[in-house]
Formats: sequence, C-alpha cells, structure tokens
Amino acid sequence: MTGIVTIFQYIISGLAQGSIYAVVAIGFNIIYNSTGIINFAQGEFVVLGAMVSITFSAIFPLWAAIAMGIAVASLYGALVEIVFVKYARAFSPLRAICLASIVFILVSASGLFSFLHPVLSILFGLAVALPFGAGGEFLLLRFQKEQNVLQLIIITIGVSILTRETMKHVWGKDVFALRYFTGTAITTISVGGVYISPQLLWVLGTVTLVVAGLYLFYKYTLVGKAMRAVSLDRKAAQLCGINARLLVTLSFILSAAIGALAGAVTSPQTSTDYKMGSSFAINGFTVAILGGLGNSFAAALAGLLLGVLESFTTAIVPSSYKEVVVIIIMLLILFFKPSGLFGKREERTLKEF
Amino acid sequence: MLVVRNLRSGYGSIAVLKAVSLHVGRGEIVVIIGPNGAGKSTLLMSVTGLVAPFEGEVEFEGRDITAVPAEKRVGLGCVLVPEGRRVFATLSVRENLELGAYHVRRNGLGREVRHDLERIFALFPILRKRERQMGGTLSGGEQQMLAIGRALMARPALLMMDEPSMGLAPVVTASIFKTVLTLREQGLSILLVEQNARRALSVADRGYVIETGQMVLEGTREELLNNNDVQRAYLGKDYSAINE
Ligand SMILES: Nc1ncnc2c1ncn2[C@@H]1O[C@H](COP(=O)(O)OP(=O)(O)OP(=O)(O)O)[C@@H](O)[C@H]1O
Ligand SMILES: [Mg+2]
Repeated sequence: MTGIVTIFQYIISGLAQGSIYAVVAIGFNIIYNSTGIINFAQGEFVVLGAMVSITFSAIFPLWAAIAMGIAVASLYGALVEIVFVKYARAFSPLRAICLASIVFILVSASGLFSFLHPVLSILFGLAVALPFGAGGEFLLLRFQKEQNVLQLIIITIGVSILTRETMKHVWGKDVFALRYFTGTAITTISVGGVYISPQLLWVLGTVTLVVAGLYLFYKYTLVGKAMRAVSLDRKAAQLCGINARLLVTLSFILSAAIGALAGAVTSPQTSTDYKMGSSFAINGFTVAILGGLGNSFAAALAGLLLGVLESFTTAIVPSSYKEVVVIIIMLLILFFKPSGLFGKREERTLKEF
Repeated sequence: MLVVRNLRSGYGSIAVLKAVSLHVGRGEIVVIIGPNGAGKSTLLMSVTGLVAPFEGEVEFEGRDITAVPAEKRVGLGCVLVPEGRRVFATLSVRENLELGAYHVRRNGLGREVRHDLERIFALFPILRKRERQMGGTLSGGEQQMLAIGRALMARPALLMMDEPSMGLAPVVTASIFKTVLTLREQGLSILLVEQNARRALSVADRGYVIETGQMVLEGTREELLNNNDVQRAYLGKDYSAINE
C-alpha cells in the first residue's frame, strides 16, 4: 500500500515539474511553427514573467501581479522579435553583440580571469569576447549568402544571455517565490493517502487551459488559422493578404505570455532565480523534440512524461545526474525516432526546410 | 488597370528581368508566354510585391504601388494564383478559402464572406464536396480550382495566374480556361502566364512574348497567332509548314 502511495507521490511531483517543461516546449513550438527558429530565450520569458509577478505581488493582488508579469513578458517578447529577429537579420552589429555575449559567458564561466579583480576580469572577458563576436559575424556574413535559421538561433542564444545578465542586475542572485495561490506551502489535499498541494492543481489546470486555449485559437479563429497558413507557406499566406511579419511578432508575444503565465503559477513550488531560464530551455527543448517539434498537444504530454521520468530518476540516482538522464533520453529519441514520439513523418516533410 | 514600366527585378545579385514593360486594360485577358526560366514567374511575383524590383514602376488602377507591401496589394484587388498552386496542405478546403478572404474579414465585411463562398462553390461545385478535406489531399486539378477559388475570395479586380494548366489533363485544362472566360464576363481583368501557348492565346485578347528577361514581342491574339517566330517556337509548327 505505502509502496503505491510513494509511487503516486513521485508521479505527482513529476507532473508539477513536467508542467513547466510542457509549457516551455509549447512556447518553442509556437515560434518554431511560424519562423522555423528555436528560440533559446524562451526560458528567460518564463523567468521574467515570474520575477515581475513576484515584484508586483508585494503591492498588488496576485491576479493583477501575474497579469503584469504576463504583460511585461509579452512586450519583451515583441521587443526581442522586432529588434533582434526582424532587424538583427539586416543589422550585423547586433548579431556581433549576440555572438560576443555568448563568448563572454563562456569566458566568465571558465573562470579564466577569475584570479583578477572582478572589474578587470569583466574587462578581460570583454576583450576576448568582442573580437570573437565581430570575427564570428564576419565569417557568418562571408560564408552565408542567405539569412538562415542557424544565424537566428545564435541570435536567440545571445538574447537569452543578455536577458539573463540584465535580470541578474535588476533582481540580484537571490531566490524568490511567488506566494501560494491557495493556502501556504504546507497546505495539502489528501486524495487516497496521496498528498497534493493545491498549487499543483493550479499548475495542471493552467497547462490544460493553455493547451485547450491554443487548440481553439489555432482551429477556430481567423488569426489562428492565418498563423497556421504562415507556418505552412509564408509566401502563399502573403498572397492571401496576410501580414506574415505581424503574425511572427504575434507568435513571439503569445509564446512569451504563455511562458510568463507558467513561470508565475509554478513559482510558489519551484521558486525562481535569474538563471533558471537555461535549464527550462534545455528541458523544454528536450520535450519539444520528444513530442515532435511543432505539435503542442504532444509537447504537453511529453512534458508531463519527462517530469515524471525525472522524478523517478531522482529516486534512484543522485539528483545531480538528472540532467545526464535527460540528455541520454533526448539522444536516444533523436537516434531512434527523429520525428519525435508523437511526430508524424508526413507533417515534417511538409515543412519548408 | 495594371501598368508595368521598365521593371528590372531579380534575386539578390541575380538580375532576371531587364526593363520589362506591359499593361493590362480593364476587362482584358492578357497572356505572357515564354520559355522556361525566361522570368515569367519573377515578373508576376514582382507585381505582387513578393519579389522586390531593383528599378521601375508598378501602377495599379492609376496608383503607383511599387512601394506598397505585398499583403496590402491583395486588399487593393491585385491578386495572384501562384505557380504550383501552393494550397495550404494541412488546412481544410474551407479554411483555405476563408484565408483567401483574410482582408475582407479584417475589414469587417465578414458577413459577405459566406456569400462569396457560395459563389466559389457555384463556380467549382467539386470544392463544396471536398469542403472538409485537407487541401493537400485534393487532386492536382482540384488543387488548382482551390487556388483560384482562394484568390477569388480576395475579391480581385485583376487576377494573375501563373501556369494554371501545369500538370493537368486536357479536360481539366479546358475547364480551367472556360472558368477564365467566365470570370472575364463577370468583369475581372486577367493576366495569364502559360506554357500552353495555343490554349492561352485562344482565350486571350492580347499577349506578350518574354525571353531571357526581355519582352521580345507584343501584339493582339491574331498578330501573335500569325507570327512566324511564335508559330515555330510556341505553337509547334515546323519550318516547312510555316513557309507554305
Ligand atoms: N528564388 C530564386 N532565387 C534565385 N534565382 C531564382 C529564384 N527564382 C527564380 N530564379 C531564377 O530566375 C530565372 C527566371 O525564373 P522564373 O521562375 O521567373 O522563370 P519562368 O519564366 O517562370 O520559368 P518556368 O516557365 O520554368 O516557370 C531563372 O533563371 C531562375 O533560375
Ligand atoms: Mg514560372
């Protein structure tokens, strides 16, 4: 009896963690579908939404604080799209900055200059990073005739790093958490001996609503259908009078809004700090691949599945190996079923690249 | 209706069109014929705004639209049925048609879309039967009808068609050309690009011949049908037949 209860307890905590992966993966999908880009700044949208909600929750009611978190993240999503995706494609200094920021983070993470005064180490880091950024940009320009997806992915990695560093300066390195929506951290509902936090119900409810809402949006609204058309054949969509550029910006907004919402509802249980975004991005990406890129419903299932898997993994192996397990799972899937667990082969071949 | 002046266009550093000019009058059917790679599709895409011209002007209903973005041109009534049909494969036939009416609905004329839809179904009854089917599952001919229907949902004044008969059986081609005539009777102007020169000229008022990015010939249907070069190169007559 207790054995079964324990198993359920693991499943429950896995679902809580998996929910956020699911939503991040859905965010990946929304942008991937409309642009073919994997937006690695997706995790930062989640963190930004949570952080802003936490800050405002000190003064405002919870729902208003979360609404503001979503609003800020949406605006930021639009900004990222307009500045970095729309114009950085045409404006190479911006791309150079993105590349430089990647190198800078690698240099500071390696601790190469850590024996120096912090200010000096930053300066040395920059001294290494900037030429690399400029050089990388030069090579990209030189060897790539067409703007391509790889370039844009590099840009999103750069945006993710820039965002993370900015959040570090605004909120510091502390760990924050939004207050529980219902009760406190120790409030539980007992279902047949399994203890569930009401927050988990909020989280699962939110994920369900997001998936259902997106389904209805893409299936029944004119803008939703237009977004599907843009993802299928951008030029044909433009020939129908659809403003594809605007819809791409909209997909960033949608994806940021959903990420922010997820960041806010999971924050009470998982807490939030400025650097969580990258692990969200890695796990969310795994989930998106696991489900088959582009399929939001599959992403939701795959997210919950990965959460539960992880939860059992930590019961068996030390939790520091968790990431290793995740990566092994991803490699196995890529190897045996490149179109994802639920991916349909035909749909992939319909994609343009 | 449409006036194109000295259009130079292409892709990046590749120049395709070298100073091309043409015009389409109200209610006219104008065809453009020419060999593969001559730049016919590039010309139509430049008129839609999806390919940005290097130089030259595109004027539509007396207005210079050279700088108007592609999606806005659709709203003005300048609509293309693209080469290869390009229907939205995983959207239903009905959704494809609804998206054709995107700007109509965005401009608050949603009520009229149902009426337009009925018109398309009357023109192509097969589409009504296939209403719920995915666009990608239709036959080639049905997809061509869907592509035309989608373009008509945008309420064009000028309908451009890029090789509508490509890969279709003669019967289907014939019915597509019949539709073209019907549409003209309803008041549309039509600019048609075709490989099937004989067929195209049979419905046309005027025509142009484009070769390697340049207009080499222009004339009325009779002039083109009787032109020796056109007969030899596009109507499949050999020297002896022409010289008799
Ligand atoms: N996207 C593109 N990028 C670069 N070059 C292109 C592109 N599209 C077409 N071209 C080139 O432009 C030239 C004209 O092509 P276009 O498609 O306009 O010819 P066409 O007359 O429509 O031929 P077809 O009868 O085969 O359809 C060709 O040499 C082609 O290789
Ligand atoms: Mg062509």
